[in-house]
Amino acid sequence: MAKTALIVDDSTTMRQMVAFTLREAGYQVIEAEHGQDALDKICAQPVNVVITDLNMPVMDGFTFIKNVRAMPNHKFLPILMLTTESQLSKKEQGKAAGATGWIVKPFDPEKLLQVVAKVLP
Amino acid sequence: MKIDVSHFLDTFFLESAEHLSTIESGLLKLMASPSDAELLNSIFRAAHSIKGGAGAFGLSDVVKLTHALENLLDRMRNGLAKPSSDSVATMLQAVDFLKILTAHRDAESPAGMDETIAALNSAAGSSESPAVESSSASALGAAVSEQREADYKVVFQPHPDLLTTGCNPLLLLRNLSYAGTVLSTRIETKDLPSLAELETSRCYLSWEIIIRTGNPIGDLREVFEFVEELARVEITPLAGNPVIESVSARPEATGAQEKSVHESSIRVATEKIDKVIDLVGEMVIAQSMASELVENFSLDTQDRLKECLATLDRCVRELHERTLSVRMLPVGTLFSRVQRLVHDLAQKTGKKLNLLTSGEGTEVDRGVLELLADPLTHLIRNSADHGIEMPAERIALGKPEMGTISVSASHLAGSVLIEIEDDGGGLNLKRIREKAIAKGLIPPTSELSEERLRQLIFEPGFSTRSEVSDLSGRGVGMDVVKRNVTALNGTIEVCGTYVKILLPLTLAIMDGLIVRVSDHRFVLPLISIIETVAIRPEQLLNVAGRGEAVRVRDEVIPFLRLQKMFHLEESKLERDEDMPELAVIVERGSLKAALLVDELLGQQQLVVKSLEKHFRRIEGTLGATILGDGSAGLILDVGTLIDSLAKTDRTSKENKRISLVA
Repeated sequence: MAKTALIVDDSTTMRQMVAFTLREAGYQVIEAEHGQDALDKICAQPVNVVITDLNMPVMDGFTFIKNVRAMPNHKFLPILMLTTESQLSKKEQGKAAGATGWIVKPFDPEKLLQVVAKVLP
Repeated sequence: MKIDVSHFLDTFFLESAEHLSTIESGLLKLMASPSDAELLNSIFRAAHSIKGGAGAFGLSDVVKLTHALENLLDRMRNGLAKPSSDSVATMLQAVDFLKILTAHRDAESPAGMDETIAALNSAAGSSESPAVESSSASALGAAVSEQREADYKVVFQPHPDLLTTGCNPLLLLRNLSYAGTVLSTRIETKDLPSLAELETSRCYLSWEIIIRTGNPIGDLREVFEFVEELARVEITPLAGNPVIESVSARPEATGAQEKSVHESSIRVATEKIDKVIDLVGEMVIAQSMASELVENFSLDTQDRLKECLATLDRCVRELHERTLSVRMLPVGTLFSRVQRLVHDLAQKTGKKLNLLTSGEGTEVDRGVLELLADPLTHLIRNSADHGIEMPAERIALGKPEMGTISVSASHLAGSVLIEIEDDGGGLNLKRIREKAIAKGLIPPTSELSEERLRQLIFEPGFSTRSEVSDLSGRGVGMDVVKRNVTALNGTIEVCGTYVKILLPLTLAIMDGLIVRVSDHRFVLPLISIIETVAIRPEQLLNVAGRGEAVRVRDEVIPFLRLQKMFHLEESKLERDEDMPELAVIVERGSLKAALLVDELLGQQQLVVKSLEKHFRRIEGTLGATILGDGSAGLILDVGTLIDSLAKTDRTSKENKRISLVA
């Protein structure tokens, strides 16, 4: 069965690119525009991996990750954060919130697939 | 697997345009509220989004600019830098460059970009310049390794909480095994508690692995990239196997970017599209019902058929409206450009300017909005440059130091009304008169009414400022504004410090009055019609050298026989001699004309079709349309008809007098 990825980003371009790359690779993709939108979607259907931006309106990535981790059934869900910042602070902040790993923007499509495969059982 | 993302570039450009306007309007507000954290955040987010996308497409100039912009905004956000008028101006400059760079695929680096980046960096108080992070370089670059196999000992001791971040030690071990050949694995179980104390969400095990690999040691480290803080990871090369440093090389440039034409596309709210689709669905149902009823038609089903047609009718009407609304945009997008303009003008002229806008939500056809941009810009420039006085002069006049320009938009019976007003000096009628005489536009002796004097500013080549100013252009002034507005089938009026522009809501559809002239039918845009009158012969006048005119109440209006103008034959229809002749009074600005027609046939919404595309342009017409019975009708261009009257007048007088009928 195809794995389902949830991609959360307020930038349509970024979302479409990640979604396109993953779909090409055979994933099912759900898109969300911000943390709140993503929370609603993650409650409505099973998801195997989450890729989320950090800077977003309504609900940012950190809050979103914390909220997901607080759900009993998503304790072990792989969550990757998209970040342009190479500074450690963002990664640490993300890890502290419960992120599994990160993808540095800009990424090339193969790299994205590699990272996703890395965290997927 | 090669995935080409370049076809997302157009989406990126569209999105960037939106982000840029967010940044621009945000920056303009920033001076008024420099400590607004949410405002700074929204600007930062927009810049950040552009940077993220640009990086993915390899648009390095955009990345450099947005990075510098973001850096400065971040420092402002953290209170390390304060927004000043200089730094805001620099950021606006950066926005301008970004607009150029994200206009289309083949945009070249604009001159002066590096200076702006340097200025942004110095405003941020840092000398930071590397825009692309090293990690992204590794993502773009390919590592070429020349390495012999070596053995490594890997110790992996996870923190008990590792599992709570979604990391799975088994996955890490699996990934590690992909990197080479695992020679041996040892699991340390000494920390494992008794079953009763075991918590399933905690990790109690650790591993020691010997692995042989031809890959550099970095590849092994990368496996544990995400768990560095939550695990002890030690990778040590085993003796006797020297490690050779890997050589990384940048890939060659990825060929010339494929050229493509930037299609004009629009972003539409999903909601609008959904409603259209709903309606189409309803129509399909109604249509199939109707065809079934027609198929088995009997007198009993007549009522149901009528009902069905009524539904269809409602759907078509609504669909019509909704489809048009897809092309509609709020005027606010245009106003925010004006905001920027006023900011720039205030800086250049040294005047204090304040722009008040209202009615931003008023929706107008995209085409109208685009064509409105230039006239509006010009009018605002005029207000700032000519209208509003220098602060010292204003204080002397007892006015507030800060000059105010207000722009508002509203709907007015199927049209859009744009009003521009300033609290400056207004039109200097005396100067206009002197100038017009100097330019030979009017004879020195002429006594023109105020209204006529005001109209003079719309004459080509008229400009009251003796020296051409840097801002308001060179002599291409109000005449261009007027031409643009008339091209949109709209009207413009100037009254002191107040300018009023009336435009049709959409270019594609208009309300028209269908008239018969001899055996032909013509359409007059409803927006330019004042009234229709019955004319008795005694109302007709023959003004020497000016052709025919008609007296309506106390006004003398030039008279145009459409039949003669279009060289039409006399109607074959019998005409009752006692019946008064009919005239439609039309106006453009303050100029009026009476058009003689044979019959008024009714009012209809019309879809305007261009003739030029298929045939050629016909003087005096705007285009053609399909009338209710399926035949074609020409739409008359009231503007050129009135102009043609003015022209005859001027040539007949043989001097450069302007015909103004007030």
